Amino acid sequence: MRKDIRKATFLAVLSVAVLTTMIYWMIRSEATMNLKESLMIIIQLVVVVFAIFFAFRRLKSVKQNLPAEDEMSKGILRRTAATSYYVSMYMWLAFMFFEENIDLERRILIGAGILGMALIYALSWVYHNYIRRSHD
Amino acid sequence: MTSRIRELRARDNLTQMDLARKVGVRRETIVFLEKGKYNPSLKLAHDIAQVFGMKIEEVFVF
Repeated sequence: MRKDIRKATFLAVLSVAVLTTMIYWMIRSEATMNLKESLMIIIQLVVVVFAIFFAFRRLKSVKQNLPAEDEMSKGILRRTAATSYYVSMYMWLAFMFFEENIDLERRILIGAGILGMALIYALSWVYHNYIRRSHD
Repeated sequence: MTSRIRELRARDNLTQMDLARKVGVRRETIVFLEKGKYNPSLKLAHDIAQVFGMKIEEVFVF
């Protein structure tokens, strides 16, 4: 139980720290954002909001004297990991294939890939948790 | 697979939350079990049957 609270609290604190840093950077940065940068910020926001939602979902369960994870939610996490790994492989393959046509520095491209993987994970979880009809 | 969980909960006046606490799972798991969208492990099926004082095959219908 205490371990669950610690894990959820750590996730919440980390997410809020990332969100605060993003907001601070946006306020301090005087450069105007182009479409690519705006898109990356939006993806980061989606990922952070997902992490905060996940942390509070766990905390809510623990507060209700229920386990943070059980056999069904662990199964969903396993399927989410498998799906996102599979889809991410295709995303990196597409990046490699279109590398010459993408007008981004290599380090930014890698950052975008990592963000993409996080987004794919979040979307896979939403799919497996809410859209997929069976949880066997 | 279908289950009689909803009916048995009503009989014993248990909420989904009560049952979830008794068998140590999240409330969503009980929701999905009642809708027949999740097949439980043997242990969970056993625990649920025990809460209602019945055999597994009397709670879960294959």
